[in-house]
Amino acid sequence: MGSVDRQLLEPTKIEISDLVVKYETPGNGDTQAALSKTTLNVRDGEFVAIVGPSGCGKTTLLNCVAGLVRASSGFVRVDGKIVGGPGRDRGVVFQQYALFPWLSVIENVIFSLEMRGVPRTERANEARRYLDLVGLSGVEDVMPKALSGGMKQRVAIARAYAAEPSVLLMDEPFGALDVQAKERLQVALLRALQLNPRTVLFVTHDVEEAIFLSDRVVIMGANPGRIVSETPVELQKDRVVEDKLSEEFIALKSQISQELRVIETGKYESEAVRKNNVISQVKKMELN
Amino acid sequence: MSNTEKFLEVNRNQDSVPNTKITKQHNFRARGFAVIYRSMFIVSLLSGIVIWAALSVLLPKDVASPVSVSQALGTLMTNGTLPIDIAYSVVRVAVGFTVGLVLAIPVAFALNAVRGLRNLLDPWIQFFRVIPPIALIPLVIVFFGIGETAKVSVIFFAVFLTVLITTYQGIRMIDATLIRAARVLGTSGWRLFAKVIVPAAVPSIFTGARLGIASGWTTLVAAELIAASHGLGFMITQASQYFDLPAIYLGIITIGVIGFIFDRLLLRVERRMISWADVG
Ligand SMILES: Nc1ncnc2c1ncn2[C@@H]1O[C@H](COP(=O)(O)OP(=O)(O)OP(=O)(O)O)[C@@H](O)[C@H]1O
Ligand SMILES: [Mg+2]
Repeated sequence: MGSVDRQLLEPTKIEISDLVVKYETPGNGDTQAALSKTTLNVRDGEFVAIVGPSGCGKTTLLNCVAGLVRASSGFVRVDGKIVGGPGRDRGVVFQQYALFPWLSVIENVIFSLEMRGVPRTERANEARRYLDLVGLSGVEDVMPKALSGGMKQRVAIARAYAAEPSVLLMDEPFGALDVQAKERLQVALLRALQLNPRTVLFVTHDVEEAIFLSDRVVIMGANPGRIVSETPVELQKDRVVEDKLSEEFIALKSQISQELRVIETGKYESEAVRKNNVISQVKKMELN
Repeated sequence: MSNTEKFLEVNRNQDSVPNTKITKQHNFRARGFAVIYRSMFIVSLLSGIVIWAALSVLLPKDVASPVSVSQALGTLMTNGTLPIDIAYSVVRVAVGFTVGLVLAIPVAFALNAVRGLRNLLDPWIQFFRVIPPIALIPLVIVFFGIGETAKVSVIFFAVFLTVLITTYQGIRMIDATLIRAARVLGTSGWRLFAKVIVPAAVPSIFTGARLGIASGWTTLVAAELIAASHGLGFMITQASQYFDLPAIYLGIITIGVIGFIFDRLLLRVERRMISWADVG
């Protein structure tokens, strides 16, 4: 509880206020709201995970903060400044890695350093530092096509870090990885954040991943895209994979999963909820 | 190679993906396939010649035999006409191709960058692409006379349109996520163009170039209908007037072989320059 109180004192880093995003339907001139009146504040250094059914506007929300999608009304402020376009203060990690395929691993990171204006002579060493941060070494000269998905995403994270953003925006970055690689990347990300803390907005479909990584899980719903609820994650800060088996973790996971199920079916199946609560109670007792 | 090995070494310790055993087996198998593929080329060449020989026996009036074509080759090589014809044609195709390529690439970029320009030019591109170059010959003669410019301009026309259309489509298909990734790193304007859009477009430029050189050769015979006195197209046209069947076949085969060599050279350059992409 104490840690939560302290966090509340942290200044607001990302301020999303009454954000509405409408897309034009191709063909006719109609617009369709992908995001309706969304408000969310993220504190400095906080890790917020966003979960929600497909098409509920998670990517839209993230892209708005990145400055890749324009707000139809409302605004996004980062460090008090209105977001008007992409900027180096906000790094993005995409699900499709988006590494430049014509550049080697280290050149991808150097690209980022070059855009930041790091002097030529320092770039190679700096780049190696960022690759080390995500647990990559010895693959500097490999081309992206020869890398596994997990390694590609490590490079992408290193490249995002190399721009020295204060905010990291991650859109299902581990969504395409197999279970083992995913877990390793989660641990690698937590480690990188421990060494180099950043404010993170992280979209995922995986409730377990959301809880494991974040300080707060935000649940979104569709039609129209909006924030339905949020749940603080009050687990210890230095997390290890084993935490996923803890009683608290499992309880939180079943609670959020249930909320998501309700949102996705659109009906509040109280009977099922009650049954589920009983099941989680039983599980708790078993664990004890 | 050493990089790949290094990579495999690291890969074993880190993210799960390829099990090294499988990878090695795969390499071994891939090498086996490479041998088969290479021998396929020879098999295909030999069977082509066999089928040709068989046809020439079955249809002696329509198909020149491999022997008679070899004899024509010997004669035309020793009297020096074939090398000269080859030289004329290669230079014409090379000049038409180079100018076509060099002009088509910037236009392809411009069409992608400026939507207004695209709407302005698209109908004309569609209009001209359906016109066979041979139909333009009378106009070409009116504009450029009957000299080398006229012949090269027919080839240029074909190459330009082919490269333009292919490259334009390729640039349009550049992965939007790559451009987004560059933009969020602070890249914009000319730097975005030079450091991301151009390299990402290189594979489609090569595709355009390979199709362009093919259409250059395809158009050669038409181009050399314009008052030529040398060249492979001229050679075929002239031989057909005397109904010199072996010479006609020789001309056709020579064009095919040179076109094939050009394509392989381009492919080699392409493989070297863009080893990062999966070149077929
Ligand atoms: N460029 C676009 N043009 C028109 N409609 C769009 C565009 N991008 C997204 N949409 C629509 O907006 C809604 C929200 O899309 P968005 O990609 O933000 O959802 P998401 O929550 O990220 O989904 P997923 O979980 O599948 O990634 C969807 O209905 C989608 O069809
Ligand atoms: Mg999405």
